[in-house]
Amino acid sequence: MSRLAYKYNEGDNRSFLIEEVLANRSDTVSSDVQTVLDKISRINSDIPVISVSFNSGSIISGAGKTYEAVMQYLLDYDVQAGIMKGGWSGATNFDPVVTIRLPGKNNLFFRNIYPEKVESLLNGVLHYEIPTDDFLGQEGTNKFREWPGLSYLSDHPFMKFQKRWLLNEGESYEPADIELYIANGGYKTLVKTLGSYTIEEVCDIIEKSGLRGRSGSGFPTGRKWKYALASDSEIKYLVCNARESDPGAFTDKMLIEGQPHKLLEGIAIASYAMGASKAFIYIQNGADYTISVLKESIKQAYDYGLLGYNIFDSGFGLDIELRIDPGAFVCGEETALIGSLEGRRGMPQVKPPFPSSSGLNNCPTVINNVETLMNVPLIMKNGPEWFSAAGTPGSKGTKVFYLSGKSALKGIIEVEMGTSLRSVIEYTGEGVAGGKGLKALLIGGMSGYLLPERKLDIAIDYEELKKAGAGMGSGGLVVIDENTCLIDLSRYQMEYMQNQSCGKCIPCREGTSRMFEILSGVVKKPPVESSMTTLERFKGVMQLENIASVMKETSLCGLGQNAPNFFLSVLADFRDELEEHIFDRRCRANRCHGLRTFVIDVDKCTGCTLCADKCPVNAIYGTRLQPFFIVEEKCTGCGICYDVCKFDAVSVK
Amino acid sequence: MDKKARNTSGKYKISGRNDLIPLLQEIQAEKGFISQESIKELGELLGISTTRIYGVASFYDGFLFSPKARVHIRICNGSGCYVNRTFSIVDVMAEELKIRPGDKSADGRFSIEMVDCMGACHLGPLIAVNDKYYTIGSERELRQILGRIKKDEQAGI
Repeated sequence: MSRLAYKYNEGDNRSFLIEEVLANRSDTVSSDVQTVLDKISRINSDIPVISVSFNSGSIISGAGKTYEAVMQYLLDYDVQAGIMKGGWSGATNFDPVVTIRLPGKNNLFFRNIYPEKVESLLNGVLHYEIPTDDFLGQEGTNKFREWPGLSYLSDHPFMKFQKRWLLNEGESYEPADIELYIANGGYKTLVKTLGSYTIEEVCDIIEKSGLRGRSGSGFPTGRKWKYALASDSEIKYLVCNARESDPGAFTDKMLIEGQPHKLLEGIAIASYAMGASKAFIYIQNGADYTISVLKESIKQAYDYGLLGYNIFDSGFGLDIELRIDPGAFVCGEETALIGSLEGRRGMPQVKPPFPSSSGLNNCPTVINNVETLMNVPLIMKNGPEWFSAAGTPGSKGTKVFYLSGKSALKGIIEVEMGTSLRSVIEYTGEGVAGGKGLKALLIGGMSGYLLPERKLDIAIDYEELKKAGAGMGSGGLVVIDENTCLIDLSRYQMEYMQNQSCGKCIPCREGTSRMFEILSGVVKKPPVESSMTTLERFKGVMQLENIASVMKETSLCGLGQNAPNFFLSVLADFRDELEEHIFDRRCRANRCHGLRTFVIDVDKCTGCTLCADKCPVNAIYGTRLQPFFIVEEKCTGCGICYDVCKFDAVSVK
Repeated sequence: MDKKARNTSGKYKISGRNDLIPLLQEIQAEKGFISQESIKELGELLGISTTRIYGVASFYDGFLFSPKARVHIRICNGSGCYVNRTFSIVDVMAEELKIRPGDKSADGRFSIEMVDCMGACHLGPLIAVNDKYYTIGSERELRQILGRIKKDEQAGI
């Protein structure tokens, strides 16, 4: 097997990379060094290099089996080729993605390569016959020769409207391999920053670039660092918040899986700029693959002297510790996260003092999001002007989103700030799955907002979104089509919030419970409908808005303050749908099972008595071999009769 | 949990309460769950009362206080999967397995957990049974899968 694990191993890569590349102060390298670098980064390879994209999503789709199948093929046919676990991430619909580079030619991307397709794919491609079925495109670089007549990946509708700075279009090297990262120009920025910029200069550059926190609030990153820097405490901490606090998004984990070393480089630069000598990465429990990638990368970085004591003789040292969240949604909140790091319950604290003046162990602590930190090396490398040239006056650079729900293509995307939300859904996401009508977009996850279809022309920009009554949030974009019931969705959202409320402050603890109860009453029928239950329901609904506003004003942390956002946006834009549920007891999307009633088609019913036997509330009457009928008042809408009927006689009224 | 042994092995620099959660996680990784004895030992090691340790550990969803069930089912509770569902997976599971998310069946065979996005949204609605993933298209499909799991589990005894 070792014959297949292709790696350039003439001499010692480690000391070569450290001495000739990282310790070299000039921006350019000699042609001799470049030749070796090309060998290490497999650019100068005389055998084909096959890479199977590995990330949490593609592993579920079967990337592991594809990898094994490729390996088996190479052994069976005795083909000399390199094989690796690539880091390309895009639409999950394309998984597992296989990238093949024939010597000197552009990378070719293929989609949905399941194990059974491997043989025919490799049989074709290794003999320069490119199958068109699963072909995504060729990668356009100036390093290799182009394939004439084949379309480019950047022209693929999914890629065309994206600006992939962090996701680096078709990054085709092993993410957790530090040699490849350095050979492709990585960590050079860190060494240069430590050697030639003062702390204040780094803060100034980041502030000048206009980089704002990507975790939702959009606070200027440079200014945050300066606050911590201004404190005269000797110990300062940096925390990278990778606790993706949105159950509908996978952005941070995908970013880490794609380029873990870029994150470490960003953390190191940020720690230097704010004067921290210890950094934590706080990552979500259960993300096993992400954690393993990160652990391996941290080990490699220590080995290369890029972390630890006195990094490259700069006098700056940094320790990075990986902490795994023990499982609490609220730990995405800054003060709760610090509580969890200190070994306490993850409960939010009153601000001020803000963490940047008194955080972990009462020392100044800066908490930055994964995406924010990954932008840092890019800005330091290319300069603040390069970064601020992209985007809108208030929001610079790009933004990574995770598209899911009913969009045709789902997965991680990156677009320039200022792109309209509609174009993201229609072009990048290829519209709504199944050709259904677009109803709304949920932006920012569970504590996010719902934007109705007519408002989707707004640009992705912190201020624009705020004006439309929404916020950037975590980067989750859930596309909602006409077949989705928003009232049911808001019940689900409130149930989630109720479960995740830490229980410290009353408005959030009680508010989420009451709102959930009332919304459950709206989407379900009570066991016995009487004038009393109807009155209770109306009373509850009247109180919803009031509870929501109290929660917004008096909750301690973002969880409680933002929990009613979803309901309030439903109330503002989809009031008719809510009223239909309350007054007419009808769900237009036919999603609220508690509200439906069934009828039996007299022509189709054979009177087999199956439905009447199975009905849990005895709402079906009739005589054997005669058509049966359902008593509407008794029916709870469970749908068992619908499922058991062998003659399709039961239908939704 | 020998304080000395740990310190000499260099695996942990015990510096007090900050290490509580990583230590609990290590115990869970080693033993599968956190027992009363482990909490007591940890309390002595760190100088924190056992009630406090239990208070912290029980706050988080990630800690188990009894061994994991043989069949652990994870249901994706991501908003992306939720909008693609056509029925309540939780209700059907409750009917078939007689347990709800966060519970373990009395015989220790099944447990259900709600998890956040697993990153394969095009396969949603997604459930994971131990390490096997299933896309749940219809209620009938789910009942079939659960039936098969029950049978396999029984045969495995």
